[in-house]
This record gives sequence, structure tokens and C-alpha cells, in this order.
Amino acid sequence: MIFNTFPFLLFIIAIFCLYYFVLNENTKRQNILLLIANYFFYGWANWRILPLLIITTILYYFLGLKIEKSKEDKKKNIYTTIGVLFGVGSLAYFKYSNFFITSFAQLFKSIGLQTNLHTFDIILPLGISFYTFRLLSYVIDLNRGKYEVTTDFVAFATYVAFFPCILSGPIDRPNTLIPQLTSKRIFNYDLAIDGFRQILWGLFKKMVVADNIAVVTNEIWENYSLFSGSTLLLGAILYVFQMYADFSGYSDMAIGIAKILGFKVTVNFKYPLFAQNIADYWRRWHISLTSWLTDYVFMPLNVRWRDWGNIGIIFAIVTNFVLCGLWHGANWTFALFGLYHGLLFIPLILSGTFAKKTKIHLTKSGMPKIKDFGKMVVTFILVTFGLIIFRAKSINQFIDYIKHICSSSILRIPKVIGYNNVTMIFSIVFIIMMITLEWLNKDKEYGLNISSMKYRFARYSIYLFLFILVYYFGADASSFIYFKF
Amino acid sequence: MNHVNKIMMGGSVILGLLLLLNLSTPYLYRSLPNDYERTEIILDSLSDNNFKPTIAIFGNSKAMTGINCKILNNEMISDKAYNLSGVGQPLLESALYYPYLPASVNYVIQCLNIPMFAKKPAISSEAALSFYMYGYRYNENLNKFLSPYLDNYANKSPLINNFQGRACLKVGLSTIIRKLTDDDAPGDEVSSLIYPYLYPSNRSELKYERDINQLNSDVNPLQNSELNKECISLIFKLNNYFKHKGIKYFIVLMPENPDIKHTHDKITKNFIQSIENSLSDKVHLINCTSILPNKDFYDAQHPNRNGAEKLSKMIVSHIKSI
Amino acid sequence: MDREKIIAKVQEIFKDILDEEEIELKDNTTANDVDNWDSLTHILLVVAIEKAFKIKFTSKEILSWKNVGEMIDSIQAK
Repeated sequence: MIFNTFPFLLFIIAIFCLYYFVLNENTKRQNILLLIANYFFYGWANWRILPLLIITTILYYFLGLKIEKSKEDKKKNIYTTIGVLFGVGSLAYFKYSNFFITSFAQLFKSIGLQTNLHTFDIILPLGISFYTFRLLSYVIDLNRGKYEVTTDFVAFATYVAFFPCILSGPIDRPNTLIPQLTSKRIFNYDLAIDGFRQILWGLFKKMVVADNIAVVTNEIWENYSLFSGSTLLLGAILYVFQMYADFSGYSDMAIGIAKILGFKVTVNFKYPLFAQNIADYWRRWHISLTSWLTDYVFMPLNVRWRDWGNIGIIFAIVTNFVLCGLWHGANWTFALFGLYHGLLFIPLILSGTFAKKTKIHLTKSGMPKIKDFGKMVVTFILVTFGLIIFRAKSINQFIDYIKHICSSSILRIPKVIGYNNVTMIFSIVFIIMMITLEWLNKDKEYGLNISSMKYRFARYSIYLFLFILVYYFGADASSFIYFKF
Repeated sequence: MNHVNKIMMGGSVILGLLLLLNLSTPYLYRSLPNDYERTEIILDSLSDNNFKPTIAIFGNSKAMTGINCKILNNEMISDKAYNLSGVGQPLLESALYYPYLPASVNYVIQCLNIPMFAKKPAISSEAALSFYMYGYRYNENLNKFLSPYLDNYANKSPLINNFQGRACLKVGLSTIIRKLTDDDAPGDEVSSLIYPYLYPSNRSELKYERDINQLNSDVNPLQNSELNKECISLIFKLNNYFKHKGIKYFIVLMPENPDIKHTHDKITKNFIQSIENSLSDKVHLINCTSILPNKDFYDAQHPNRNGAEKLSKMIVSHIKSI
Repeated sequence: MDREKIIAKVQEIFKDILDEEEIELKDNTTANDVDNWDSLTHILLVVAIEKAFKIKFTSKEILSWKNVGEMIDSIQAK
């Protein structure tokens, strides 16, 4: 079930009513309800892979108990290793086997050997990247002694399969979510209202901003050899905003839904488009993933290679980001994307600035100072280039796209076909709306957190305006034929 | 007010707002430009008592650019011809207009493209939506043989129709902005019921060649197609419908551009032959597929003004010969 | 070396690496309490501490510290 569909609306209303009116204050029963809801939600998407999720959860639950009970480090390590191997192994199997197979076949072909390897028909279980990471962090942290084991199976299983977050994150750690599950939750009105507000904001970003930009960028990418260099460049820039609006919008919806149920889920985005360097960017983009990788990939590598000084840090960062890239999908473009970002850290590491927190200096009128604004623009350009690699279907397509940008047609006015030109203009208007609100509220948790705005009339007008935009411009509403003249 | 009440009130406000937005959609739809304005023009004319055509032309954009009623009216002085075709208007959509033709109509000219005969009769959901928005009432008589194709449209709830129509705001604003900024936007001739010629400028040879080359590099779309039986049977039923009303019904097979190689290859020739075999002794069939040279086309598909003149005169001679 | 001296020396290292004048470390101080101390600077601190005290930690030790107190315990144990 996707969040902005009618079945989901019915689902969440039912859960809300049962949760607060029928089972109010009975934590144990509320958790059971949540667990059933989680599995219902997951099974709705594809009931065939639900057993895998359940069995995996049970396996890790018992691994956790074993790790805690073991007195010797050696035994603890064995159980942890089983957990890690199983998790990484299942990801490798479901997500990457076909990728490995086709890559090997291509490699052999290029040196003249024919192979008869064929790819398998593997269904990718939804959310596997997300719930596997939650499970891995559980066993690893138990082993490190950072956390106590959970004996409450219902709470544990709910943590693993928490429905607002299972399909697209954020990735919570056990020690942030499980304590909330085992403690009492009563209806928190302010939190719930905040949640609704965040959901509205997420709907706006996803349905109005991202989905409309997508109409334009999809057209540009599908026929990029027909358009001018300037159009391709604009397409790349729009794609950055699309990715941000889509992903952060979805996260906002997930966080908002969790808030309505009384949970505080980890923040996933902190205005990455205002970042002043690449390190800053990654501290603000998909925070739950990068912090997961930092704790379980970067840190161990960094610790292991700490005697190699800067070289050690560089290798650790590059490995970290190549894995980050590959996490997104099984294609060499994702690996290249990761490598590209890893390499961008090198200047920062060598100059010692990569760890320093950045601050945005403002002028009297609230705009960024020229120096900081310049840094934001440079970072934005670097990110744009990286996302071209990300979007391309293959490395060849990426190179081809860049070639087409660097042609003489870069000076022409960007133009797509027919109505999509107007969609392009609308998209730019929506982007400006989004960025403006987010800039004004950059110290707040999310762009629409305007509860501190003075006039109630102004606040409600903004909510109404966004609501109307979502209704009329939400891009499922792009069902017009396009006049082919 | 305690929290539960506040939430209830908030929920009701949101629901009320949604209902308001939903129910006002038809008014919004009608007041904004969209791709189906021609449907409104045709429906309005058909309900106007002063509208008394004797010849009604139906079809898609090929019929819009290919049939000039001015010429028809010049050649047949006592008749009044009107071009009621529209962009993307398939047979099923034309049939929706049939029950509302005024009693003055003696001749109905239904223009069809060859590829249409390979497919089941259908109408796009956007077109069906436009009929709903402009207040069309599904006619009992036609329901008998049109209903298998129209059931899910005719019986759709207004709430769902309105919800699906909410794109009208975006489309409307887009159309307005496009008219102001884009040179390629269609002109106002599109609203004409005499000769709705779509193209404001002359043909661009470069674009023409590129389009022709593209089509020639593709395989013949009729490659593995057969004559669709439902399509043929629908034509027979419509023919009988008009026979009972004393109206002469003509099926015109529209011209194909000879520059496109597969329009005169074996596959297409056989297909056209099968159409003729099925229809020619039961229905007035006018085969115009090869009457126009390539210079009488604006682009790969649509006849230009010269082509329209030839085609219109050919139709006149057929009407007169009956 | 006694605990007081260890904390004082570690505090100096923090001030130096993190480029902050005002740092006060207690047993229950964590990364959240100190500006600029995050996983990225953590390693720089560890390396500096290893050099200063001429000791070597194991990976597992480093990754298991929850606060400054535990870090000091590990140093003391060497």
C-alpha cells in the first residue's frame, strides 16, 4: 500500500481508532495490533514474501537471546557472525545475484570466454534492504554491549516490520524505537497534530513537487538525444530537486504517521540542499542510512586502518560510499555513484575540514552570505553530477548524456515537448515554494513546522493552499492526453 | 474543547473540504480550456434547436483536416454539411453523438482509419470523462449495442468521475499558458464546425522527412493483425440503426500518405481487401486510401487544404451517385 | 597513572583535535555533549590518545565505549 492511496487511508483510520479508542493505554495489546497491522500492510504489497520476513525476525530474536546469554566472547561472536552472514547473504542473494551473474558473464565475454550463465527469476522482497539493516544493527550492537536484549517478541517484531518505515525508511536503531514500544503511550495531541502537518508537507513534496518534475525528467531522459544541451542540463538540475522532494516527502509522511501513533522516529533529512560541502551534505541526506553505514562500515574500517592516517580514512570513506551506492540498486552506475562521492571527500579529509560542522552565516535580511551561498552552489553542482550517474541506466548512457550536454546547443533555451513545457514551469514554481518554506524554517524539524507563526489565519491559509495544491496538482492527476501535432 | 472533539471537528472540516472540491469539479472543468473543448462545441450545437445540418461528418483529426464542408456546401447547394469530427474521435465516440442528431440529417459520413479495424471498439477514459463533464446523457436506444463497451463509463459514480477530473485545473492552466507562449500551439480554427483545419503554419520539410523516416523504419503496425469482428459487427448494427431512421450512412476509409512505405505493401493491401469483403455489399463504403499524393499531406497523417479539397469532392460524387 | 591525570590529559587532546577551547570531560560525557565530536573525529581522538599514552586498543574496545568514563577505564586498564 502506498501512503497516498485510498486503501491506505482506510487502513490508517481503522488502526487509529482501534489503537486509541479500543485499546487505549494497554501497551501490550496496542503492540499486538501494530504487529498485525505491520504484517497486513506488508502482506498487502506481496503476501508471498511475508513468511520470509516473519521467519527472519524469529531467527534474529533467538540469535539476540543467545548472544546475551553467552558468557564467552567467542560464542557471542559466533552468533553475531551467523546473524551478519545471514543478513548480508540474503541481501546478496535477492538483490545482487543477477547483477553478479550478468557482470561475470560480461567479464568472461570480454576476454573471449562464452558462458551459459543465465539469470534467475528472483522476486526482490520489498523492504528487504530496510528491515535487514534494522536486524543487523540489533545483533551487532548487542555484541558490542551497547544495548540490552529484547525479550518481548511482539515489541521486537514490531520494531523490525514497523509499517510506516518498512518500505522506504527511515532506518531506526533498536535503542530508539524499542524503548518506545515497551513503554506506555497515551494520545499526545500536540504530537499527533504535528504528525498531520508533517504528512501534509510530505504529500505536497511527493505529489506536487516530485511527481510533476518526474513527468519532465522522464521525458528528457527517455529521449535525451533529441533535446538541446541546455535542456539536458536543466533536466539534471530538476532531477536533484525531484529526488529530494520524493524521498524526503516520503520520509516526512512516514515520520508523520508514526507521530500520530505516538512514536518519534529518527529524522532522515535536514535540508541537504543547503549543505556547504560534501561531508555536510551527507550529514543531511538520508541520515538514517548514512549513520547506519558510519556505525557499521565506516567506523570499523576506520578503526582498523587508523594507523595509516589520512590514507586510512580515505580508504574507509571510499569503501563506505561505494557500499552506500550499491545499497540503492544492483548496477555499476550505483557503484560509480558511490565511488564518485567517496572521492569527493578526499580534499576535505586532506585539509582537515571534513569533520568540522558547518554553519550558515546570514545577512541582516536573512539570506545567506555570499561565501556560504557560493559553497552551497558548488556543493549543489557536485551533487547534480553525481545524480546523473545515479539516474543513468548504464555507464554508457551516463557518458552519452554528459556528451550531449557539452555540445553547442547548450546556449539554447531549454524546451521539451508540448504540454510538458508548462509542467516544467509549474515544477519550477513548486520548487521555489518548497525551498522558500524550507529556508525560512531551516532550524525546524521540517519545512512546514510553522506552529510558531504568529497569525492563525496565515497558518491555516498555508495549510489550505497546500491541501488544494495536493488535490488538484497531485500528479496522479496527470491524465490528460497530449495533443500530437 | 477536548482533544477528541477537536479531532472530530478537524476531520469533518477536511471531509467537507474534499467534498466541496469534488462537487465543484464539473464547473471548474467547463470553465477552463482542455483537450476536449470540441466535444462541448459539438454537444452544444446538437442541443441547439437552430442547428439543422443535413450532412454530418464524423471521424478523428484526419477528418478534421481532410473534409472541408465549405466545398461540400458549394457542390450540394440544397444541403448543409457540418464537420463534427474531433481529435482522437474513434467510432465509439462518434456513435455517442448519433442519437442526438437533429431530424434534419439525411446523410452521416463516418470517417475511419485502417488501423481502427484491427482493434476492439473503445473510447479513452479521458474522452469518456469529458462527456460526463459536459452533461452527456447515455441514450437508451444505443445502450443495447454499445453497452458492452461503455458499461463502466455509463455507470460510474459522479464522485469518482469528479475525482478523476481534478486534472482539469492543471490542464486548463497549462493550455492557457501554452497559448500565450508556444508557437506550436493549435490555433482557434479547431472550434470550427465547417473546416477545423488544425495547423497554423506551413509544413516543415525537415520535420516531415524526419517523421516519415521514423515511420518507415518501423515495422508495419498491421503485421500480425486481423480484422476485428466486433468492430465490423458494430458497423453493421449502426448501419441498421440509420436504415430504420431513413438516414444514409457512409463509411469512408481515409487517405494514407504514400510516402509511408507500408501503406501500400502486401499486408496493408490484404487488410483493406478484407475490410472491403466484409463491408462493401452491406454498407456504403468509400475507399479513399490511395487517392492523395504525398504533397497533399501536411504531415505523415493529415491531409492539407489541397488534399481536403480532393477528398471532399470525392465524397460529394459518391453521395450524388446514390 | 591515576584517573584524574588521565582525564586531564585526555581533555587536552580533545581541545586540540576538536579545535574547541571550552571542553570539560566527566565520566558520563558522551559525543552528544561535545561540539564537533562525532564518529568522524572520534578516530582522530583515538589515534591521538593511543600515541599520547603509548597504548593500543582493540577494535572491539573502541567500538564498545558508551561514554568518556568507559574510555578512561580502558586507558587505565592498559
